[in-house]
Amino acid sequence: MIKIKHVSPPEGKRYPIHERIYLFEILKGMGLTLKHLIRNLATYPTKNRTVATIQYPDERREYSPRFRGMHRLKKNPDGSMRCVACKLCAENCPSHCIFIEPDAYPDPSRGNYPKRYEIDITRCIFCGFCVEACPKDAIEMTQLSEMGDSVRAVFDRDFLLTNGKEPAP
Amino acid sequence: MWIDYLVWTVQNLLFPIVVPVVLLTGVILAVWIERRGAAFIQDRVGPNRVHLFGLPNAGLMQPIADALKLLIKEEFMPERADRFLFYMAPAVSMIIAILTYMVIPFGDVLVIGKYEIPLQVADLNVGLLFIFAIASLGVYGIVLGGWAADNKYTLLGGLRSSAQMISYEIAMGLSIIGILIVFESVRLNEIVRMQGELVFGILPRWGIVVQPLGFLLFFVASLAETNRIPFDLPEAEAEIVAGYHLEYSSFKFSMFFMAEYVNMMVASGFLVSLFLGGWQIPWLPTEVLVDRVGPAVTALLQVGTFVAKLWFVMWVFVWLRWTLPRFRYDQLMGLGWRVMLPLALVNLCVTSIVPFVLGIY
Amino acid sequence: MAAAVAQTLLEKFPKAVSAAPDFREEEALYVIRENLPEVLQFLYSAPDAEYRLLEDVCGADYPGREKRFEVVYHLYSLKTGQHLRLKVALSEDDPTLPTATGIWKAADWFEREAFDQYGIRFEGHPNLRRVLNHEEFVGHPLRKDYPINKRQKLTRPTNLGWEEGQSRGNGSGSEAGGEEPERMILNIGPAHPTTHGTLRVLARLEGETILEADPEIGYLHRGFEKTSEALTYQQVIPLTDRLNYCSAMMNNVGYCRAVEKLLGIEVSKRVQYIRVIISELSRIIDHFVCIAANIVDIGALTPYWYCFRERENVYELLEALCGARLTTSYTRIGGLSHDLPDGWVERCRSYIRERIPRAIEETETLITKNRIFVDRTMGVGVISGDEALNWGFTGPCLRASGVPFDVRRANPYYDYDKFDFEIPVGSNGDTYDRYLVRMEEMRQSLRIVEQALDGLPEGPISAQDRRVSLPEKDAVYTKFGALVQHTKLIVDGILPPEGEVYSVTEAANGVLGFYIVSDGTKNPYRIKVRPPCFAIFQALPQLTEGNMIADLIAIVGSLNIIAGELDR
Repeated sequence: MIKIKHVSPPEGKRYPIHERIYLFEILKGMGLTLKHLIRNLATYPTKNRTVATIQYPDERREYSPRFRGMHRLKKNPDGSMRCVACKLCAENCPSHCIFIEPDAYPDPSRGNYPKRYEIDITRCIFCGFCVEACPKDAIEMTQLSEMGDSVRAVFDRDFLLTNGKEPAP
Repeated sequence: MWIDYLVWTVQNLLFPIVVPVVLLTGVILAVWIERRGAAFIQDRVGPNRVHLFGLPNAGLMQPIADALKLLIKEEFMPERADRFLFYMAPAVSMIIAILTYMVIPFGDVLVIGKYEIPLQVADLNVGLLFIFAIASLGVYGIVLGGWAADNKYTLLGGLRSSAQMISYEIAMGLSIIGILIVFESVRLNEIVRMQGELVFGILPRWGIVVQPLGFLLFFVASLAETNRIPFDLPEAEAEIVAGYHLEYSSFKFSMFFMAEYVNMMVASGFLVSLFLGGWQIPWLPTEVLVDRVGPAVTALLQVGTFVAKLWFVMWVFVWLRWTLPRFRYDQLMGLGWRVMLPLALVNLCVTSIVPFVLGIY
Repeated sequence: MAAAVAQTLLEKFPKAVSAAPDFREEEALYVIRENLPEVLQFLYSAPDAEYRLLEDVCGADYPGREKRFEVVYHLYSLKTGQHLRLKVALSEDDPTLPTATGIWKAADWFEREAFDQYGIRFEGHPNLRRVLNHEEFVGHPLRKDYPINKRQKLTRPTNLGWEEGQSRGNGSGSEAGGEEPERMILNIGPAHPTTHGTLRVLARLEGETILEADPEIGYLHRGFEKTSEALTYQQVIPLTDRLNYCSAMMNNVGYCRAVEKLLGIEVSKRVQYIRVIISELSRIIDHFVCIAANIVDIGALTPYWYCFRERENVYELLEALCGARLTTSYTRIGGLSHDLPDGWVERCRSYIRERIPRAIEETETLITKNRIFVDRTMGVGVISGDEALNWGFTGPCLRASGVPFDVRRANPYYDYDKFDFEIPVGSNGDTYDRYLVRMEEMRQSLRIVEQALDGLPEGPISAQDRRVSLPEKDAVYTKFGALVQHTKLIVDGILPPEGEVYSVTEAANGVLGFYIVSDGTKNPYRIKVRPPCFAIFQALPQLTEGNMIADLIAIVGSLNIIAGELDR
């Protein structure tokens, strides 16, 4: 059963005269903006401001824990890299922006590590598919979003290992 | 003897220099009010980052920073623009705007000993007509600016503006005739002085009390004359991308920009003088004040009152800008010719007949 | 019902029409090119099922076949609520087809796009030019032999192309020769404060009245369809975010729904309800954008801020959900990427009860009865219901013209038929009605979200299907079998069966259709997005001719043209 709600003013009839004279609706509108003005001005010096502005960079917005910011390669509690250069993140990336060159540890029981792990930031779309693909929980996206740089267009392995904070062991 | 020279210098050399400077400084305040007022209406905080000597100042320095930025921008002129008109248009706008202000009184005649210093730059005996005459020339600045830039968008802006301003000048002029009839004078200072009297024993005889419809019409007409929303078609940003001042940059643009605010202040000053009692403090006419506190303090108080009223009207302009949408071209013309003109004539008729009938003239 | 029509067609045109293989309960018929016009005419006027809405015309390239190209028509009948697909095969040396614009005006730009992307010529088309690619483009990019990396640049200034001898005006400079003195050609866009996204409207004016308006799009064409042919099904999801970027989650939902239909899997109830919630929230923010931008163009600059403040709040909700505000990529094939975090439901409830209604009320106070606004928009850009349907309008623009068509009610999905909401319908089809319809739709969306939050069931958020969903991360870290499944899914991708589907959802702007052809491999063979505003924008000449420039601005704002969706 489709319930329909007709929204336009009835055919042929116009709005009543007191809504058609410009004046009253204008005054109502002015009253609303005045209310906003007074409320914003009155609360501005106090702690709960009603203005929507966050004074960046003095104040920052709180990001959610799932925020997809700058990538970080994680380390094991003993300090070694978790990444085993399985290339699943590169495979899953929609923009093909991860470039990995694997190499083996000298100790044959430890497996591989990435000799070269680069994320091309000019291609990355910050979708988080690399995080989803990783079977070793080796890459995560931190809450760092301030990545503006005029020089660095590619994040290499050492950069990715060292930004952000270490998790508690 | 030397005091004569001093008085003469003050009246004829100082005022004509100080008043335009104060006007232009007022532009800074106007821009500040516009931007901060707009911001607080819109749930945000306007500019507040320009510090002077390391001190935050709630954004008061922002217009000065903007003016400096505009001054150091690159000046360019479109290739096929009309050079003379291109240079002249902003200058015309600004000069006319300032010139119109010269007859608006911001205080009563200051009587010190035997010297009388009228607190307005030029106390013409045709003050009201002067304003209308000069303000009509203000259209030229916009129209020439739109034409000279050799751009279809600016041309549209100039065309719209010329039609709009001419139409609303008629309404403006007719709405004033009621005031002329009531106050029986064309000199602005006289009109303001006569608003110190009392009506029905308690209400000050302000223009708004004796001519409410005239006030409304004049207010709407001055919105149209100063190209403010809801009548800002010539510079409608969404439609014609800044309209007549599209191709201007740097100093010429700042001339247009400031001329708009000066026009607003002129319109406010005019409105205040005619309808809101000018420099009159309600229930305290000049003689009473001079008796109580002396001429100098009286002058200061009156100038202060005038300034307060003027900035209140400016605030209402800003308030309306951020509340209302803008008219379409033909609706604007329809309003001017089919609503305001008849209403002004009705006002005129009523104003002429009622005092005759009541025996008050 | 569609089976009945298909039967009728098979009987009436036995040589021309043959049934395509039945896949996922969709009706598809092959039609021979010579008989196409009469088949289409028959379908348009068939008394028991009038296919009045032409949703999509697209091409497809099968180089392995003898007849390489295929033109696919998607028709919809409001009477029966059924889709129908018609496929016409064309060979490479004679890729021509009679046009359908005589019957449905909606075919106009869709056929232009098929010409542009595949080189299929439509005889009798009034204006067969390129629409998405620029005019100097050589070749047809969606053909399988066009390399994906090849770019072609535009080198010459634009030719107006209206009449011989017209000078090259581009918005500045007076015309030189060849133009009548009272007529002026004004170029509105692409760099213009009011065109939402990069669009261009070439207008011929007399004074302020528009005599002709010629819209041009394609400035934001990023090759979504070509790119998606090189990615896996999962990897296409972030690209769908960027289609209608004002309501990104709806595109995610639409696409995932299409792929799930292709795979033949059902998502769990919890996933359905969450998808409904995020769709409706996205609808609200999209309508906020449309209304606020429309009002700014008309001159009222304040409601924009009130509306966008609430958008910020919704963005915070969406960010808590998936980590990004606009490029959400929240849905996955078979489910969702994350479950709702703690406290999300309460936060959402508080927003939809207090903040969003307040913004709607404030905009109403400032705008709805304001005579200036009413004069600007009432009677401006009028289009009747039949005309709108013929042009392919769907969504709020169609409902404002009086046609109560909403996919959520006509072909309900995800339990929309269990929710209690009304469909706002206008009667005049002018800009004011479109505004009113959108305002009311926001209120109805709030109702839906409230009901969905109340009835949110528990359950898994991914399809428990080994071929489709990635296993839980805890299992991947510890169990070997899960690791193998995880690796296989990422490397091999999702392998749907061969076939094609067309799935529609009610996006903020109208019917968002995804036509996906699969050849059994991990990359989609063909994805066609049916953007709602593509059909709406092609009607711009009819809407604006005779009006003034100020009206053009108001009309374009009310149609909610989002360039990302228009150009893909």
